[in-house]
Amino acid sequence: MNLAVDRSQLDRITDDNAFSTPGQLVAQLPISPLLDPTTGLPNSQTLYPSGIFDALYDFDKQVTFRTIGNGFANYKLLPSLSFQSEVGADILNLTETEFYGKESQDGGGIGRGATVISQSVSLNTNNYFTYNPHLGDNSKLNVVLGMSYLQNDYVHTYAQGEQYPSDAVKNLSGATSITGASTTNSRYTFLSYFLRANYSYLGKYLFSVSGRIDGSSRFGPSNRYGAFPAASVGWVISDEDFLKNNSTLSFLKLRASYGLTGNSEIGEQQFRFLYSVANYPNLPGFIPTQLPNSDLKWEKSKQVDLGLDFGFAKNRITGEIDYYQKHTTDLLLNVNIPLTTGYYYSSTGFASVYKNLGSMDNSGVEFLLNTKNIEGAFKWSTSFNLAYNKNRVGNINGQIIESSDGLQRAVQGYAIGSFYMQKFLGVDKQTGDALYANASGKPANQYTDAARMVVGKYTPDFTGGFTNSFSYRGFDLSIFFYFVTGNDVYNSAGRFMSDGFYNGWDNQTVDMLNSWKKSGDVTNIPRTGYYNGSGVRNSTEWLYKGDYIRLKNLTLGYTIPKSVSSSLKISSARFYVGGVNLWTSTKYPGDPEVNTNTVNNIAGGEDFYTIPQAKTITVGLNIKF
Amino acid sequence: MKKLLYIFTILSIFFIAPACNKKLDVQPQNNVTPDQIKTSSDVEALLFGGYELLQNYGAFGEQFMLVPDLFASDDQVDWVGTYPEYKDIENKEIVSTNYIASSMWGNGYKIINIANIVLDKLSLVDTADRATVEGEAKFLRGTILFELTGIFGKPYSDGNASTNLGVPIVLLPTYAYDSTKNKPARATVSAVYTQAVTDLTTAISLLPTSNVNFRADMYSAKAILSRVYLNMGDYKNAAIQASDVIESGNFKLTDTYHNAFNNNTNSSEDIFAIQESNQSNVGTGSQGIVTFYAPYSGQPAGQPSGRGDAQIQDGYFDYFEPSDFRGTFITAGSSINGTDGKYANKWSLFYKAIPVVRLAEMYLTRGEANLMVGGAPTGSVNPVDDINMVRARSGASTLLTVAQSDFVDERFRELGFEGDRFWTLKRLQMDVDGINYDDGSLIMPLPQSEIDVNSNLKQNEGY
Repeated sequence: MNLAVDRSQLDRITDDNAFSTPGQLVAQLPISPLLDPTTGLPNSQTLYPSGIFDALYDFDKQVTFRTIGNGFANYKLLPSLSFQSEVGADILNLTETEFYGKESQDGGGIGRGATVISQSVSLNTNNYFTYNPHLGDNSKLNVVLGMSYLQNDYVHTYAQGEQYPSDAVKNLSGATSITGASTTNSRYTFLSYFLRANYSYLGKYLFSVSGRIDGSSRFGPSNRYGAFPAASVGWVISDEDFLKNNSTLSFLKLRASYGLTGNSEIGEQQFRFLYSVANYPNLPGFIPTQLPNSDLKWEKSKQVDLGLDFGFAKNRITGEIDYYQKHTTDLLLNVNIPLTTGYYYSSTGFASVYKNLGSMDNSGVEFLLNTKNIEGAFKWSTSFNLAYNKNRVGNINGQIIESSDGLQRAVQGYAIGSFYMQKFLGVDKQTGDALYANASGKPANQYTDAARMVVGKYTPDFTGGFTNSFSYRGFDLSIFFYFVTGNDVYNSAGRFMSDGFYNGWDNQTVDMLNSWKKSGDVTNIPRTGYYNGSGVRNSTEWLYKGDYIRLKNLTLGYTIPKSVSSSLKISSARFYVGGVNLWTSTKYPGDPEVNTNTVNNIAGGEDFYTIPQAKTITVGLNIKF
Repeated sequence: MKKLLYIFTILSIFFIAPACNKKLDVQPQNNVTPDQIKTSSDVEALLFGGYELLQNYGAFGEQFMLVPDLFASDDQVDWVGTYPEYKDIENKEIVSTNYIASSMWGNGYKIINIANIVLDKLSLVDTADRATVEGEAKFLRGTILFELTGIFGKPYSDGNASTNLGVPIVLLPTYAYDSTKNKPARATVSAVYTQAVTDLTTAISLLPTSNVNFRADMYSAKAILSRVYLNMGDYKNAAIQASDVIESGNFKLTDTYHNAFNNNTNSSEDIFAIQESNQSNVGTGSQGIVTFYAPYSGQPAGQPSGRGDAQIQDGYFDYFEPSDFRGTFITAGSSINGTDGKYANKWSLFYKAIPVVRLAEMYLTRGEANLMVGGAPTGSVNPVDDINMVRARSGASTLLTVAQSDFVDERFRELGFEGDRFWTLKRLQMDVDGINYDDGSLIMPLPQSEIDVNSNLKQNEGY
């Protein structure tokens, strides 16, 4: 039996698309002072409502309690056969209090507040037989047969109100008008049966086969179960006689596997026809909201893996190389259908239905290298990892699967979540108009003549990390770089911050200074003007290369010598100073690590006044008694 | 023996597992499934869902009024806010990905589908209520078809209604998506008008003379039908429908113009209005007619602030004599981005009833229509008396004679910012901001996402 309880608190800010978010402070005029010189209070005469007021008068506090507990019983039926039964629970309780004071924009002059209470309870049980027959000294067999069941219940209750007499009472007891309250419940269940056999001969020839049948509540009665077999082989070459005493090569293992896996991550109840409840005054009603697809079933992936683990020089150099190929069929995708069906969904702007559709291929290489460069009193070790992935959408029958802003899509022959928009070709030097590629690739002055096309992708080609650790006497130093290449980032806020005042007096990016001004100007920034500029709509004008390398983590520590710590009657003490995100190199004009508007795997890599990753410096002392 | 007991326990745990199979059958807890729609009140609940969607910002909660008013005209309303999609309408530089096109179109067809589902399930409705429920469903469908074709198609008045494209006419419910059946083409403008007339006429024959909870009644359908006929240039029928509403005696102009707006429920002159409450409303943050028309600073004490994105322009005030209260039903304030301006008090308070069609409009419609038909007026009231009825309430001078242009101006005064001006200009072939009434730039594009998934749809010219 064991039990763990964890409490965490999160102070949230509003979403990216709100004046109250600190990210939108960049839209304010650079000449407006932070403080009002006459009152000394934050300036209320800003172009847009200032998020400073929200920072002062609003809060959104989330407190989460998580309790994880599990226990098991094991019974030996025979010396070689045992039965194990495990039960586990994972309970997550969240309470959130939101308050928006009268002085802030979100408070609307009257004060607003909300409270959220939610609970997620996961219960699971695994019950399995394990069979370990004695087959002599050279052979080992391990067979497991069992079942597992997982049930998750989620309940979410919220209430919101407004009209606070003052800022004194900040919970809902201060709200004199309750404007909404609701409870939602959902459940999902998974039931699985599995059989797995591992066999090894002489400890160097390894075989494994497995099969599992998974059932999910997310699919209709006739499609609930999916069968997923897999097999693998391994060969520890370095244990063979011809390599056994090799002084250079200390470890070498070849691995290969093939298997089928399933995916059911589409949320609950997607296969049914559903009506939802409507609350028109005095006329409680229903609205048809979801079209059914009773054929919905597991998405399946066939994956082949080939791997090589190696170690050189008494394992001072170790590493892994993996190659994989994954072919996914029956992709679970939310496919657009005509709005004339009557299933407009206001948060996406589309009508859509989940379907199993088409295929997708992923292939890639992963490489890991760990080296102990210097050993002794002064130690230096390095870890380097690099991953390459290539993703291609297969035939999706011309169906349209897109992000809610319409800027990203699944398109056959391209990476999923490709950016799909008008291509910016530069500026007409006569007129200053933005030029866009039309359907035949020729420049067009009119945005309406521009064709939409695949222009990039948010998924990277390469990702990797590079860590160097040093230690000498009591000192330790660790430096971790992370890098990404081959992806694109779209600045959705470009049409406000780089539009040459087309949408208002928003503060502009510096490159606007190079805008076209008179006939003959050669520039990449179109003419500007309050409500009459050009190049003001979504296009590749604001699509950037997203490559970056970032010093994610740097920590320097000093552990006081044992002699000192024992005289202080403590077991150890370590002083440290650490920094996160201290340095970044990128061509993207903002922070390249963005994730506004992320939806499944279709949308990502968009920036909309996204708060940059925090640069933090921590100084600490760690004492153990 | 003990061992056997253990083994028995283990085996039972293991083999009871298939009973878990039932555990995979999880019913939705926040939604209703089709087998749960089985009584008369279930079908009525679906009908009421249709009213909820009428309240949506894609319909009478905002865009059916605000969008026409941004089209017509620049000298009446100016968009100063940060949503470029609205500014593009004012500038007549709309792109087909403009989400406002999707919300009006999408929400509109959602209402039409609800109406079609209700009509499909009429047999479940108690016989005593069946006519009313059918009438209300047809009122919803006819009203939406009329609104959508006016916004997404050319005006009926241009003489080519039988060839110009309106919107698809969908008369059957959709319960499952069928890619071969669910890709309707656009019907002609005249076919959509014919369907709207049929739906509203049928509704009139089925609906009671008054209904509960501000649901549509016979006169709601007649009032909308008078609009349809007026836009078809069928003055005789427009006059008959408007006159029936006036003569019903069910409605009365409010004593002052101010009292016709910002009421908790219908005013005495509301023939049909959207209801709102603090828990059921079109929104206060980024959507809703009051959100955009009410100022950010300058609201009455205790009222939530609006965004103040839509400001009233001087061209509107030019229509008024000093004595006319309507010209002063305006407040000074500023928008969320600090632009000072003037705001229509009509749309100043949140959570109030939103008039869709008022009695004042019926007087103006009957008067104009009678004037155009000539001879003995329908309702036996002279056109000049109809217009003076509306004018007198607001302290405007009494007219002695009247021409059609007087009715036009009177509509601009009386119905300002209620979405009427765009329709009036188009039906009378009058320029909009110097642009010919029939120009493609005065028509919303079909949503690009809709063109992308339905190859049978033809986009409007210029998009």
